[in-house]
Amino acid sequence: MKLETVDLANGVTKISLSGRLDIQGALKIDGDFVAIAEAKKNIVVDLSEVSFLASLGIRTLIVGAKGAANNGGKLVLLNPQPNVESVLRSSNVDTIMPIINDATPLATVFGA
Amino acid sequence: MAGTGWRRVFSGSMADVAAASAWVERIAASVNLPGQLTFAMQVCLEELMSNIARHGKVDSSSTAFPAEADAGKPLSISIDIDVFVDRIAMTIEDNGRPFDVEKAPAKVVDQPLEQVRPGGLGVNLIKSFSDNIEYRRTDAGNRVTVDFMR
Repeated sequence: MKLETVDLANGVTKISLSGRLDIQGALKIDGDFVAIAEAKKNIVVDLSEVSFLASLGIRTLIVGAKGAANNGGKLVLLNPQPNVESVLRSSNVDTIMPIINDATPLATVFGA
Repeated sequence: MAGTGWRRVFSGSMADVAAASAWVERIAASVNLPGQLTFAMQVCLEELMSNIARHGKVDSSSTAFPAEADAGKPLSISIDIDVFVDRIAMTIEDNGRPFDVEKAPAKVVDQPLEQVRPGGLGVNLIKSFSDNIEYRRTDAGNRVTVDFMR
């Protein structure tokens, strides 16, 4: 499980995850992910290279989303693979973290 | 109708949760299961095993289960994969604390972000990604069979 961060325009931070967000993957990135989310405001989490997601991975995403919200911002999920998206939607995670794709203008997502 | 079966025993370590998932993936590939079905099996396996690994250990100092013969013993998780023409049956047996996953509530996110409590979403994933689930408390511990229709 890998985590990379890049600052985009308009104060948006992109966190790119890659690998399996299973129990081991979640434990590996949890500290860094939450620390970044709590330090930033508007966050895009690129899930395009995440091949697997389970409940502990969802937990990490939710804690991060709460951190961004505490800063008055928002965390959104970008380009999940179909199986990963089905995990997110079956848990209703998309009701608290919007799922977007490359065609979605970030300005409309964050109102920037 | 008889199927083809595999069986392997794992510990309750995090490394073994990953090892079990890789084992299931190799079995699925060997019988040419579709990727979506393999993914569903891995989701259920991950949730069941990580739950046992995190909550199943019977503490030898615990008084909650004083009659527990396995108190203090390491967790043992056996997995049977049986491939039939119409379905896959995955049976997971462990020697840990009783946990009836069949009756456990399938929690989903149902509150705004500010109020939602992280965690506890695993049972719903097991029920969402399988076609049938059966739990039985055995003399040794817990036995869960999860079916996936082909």
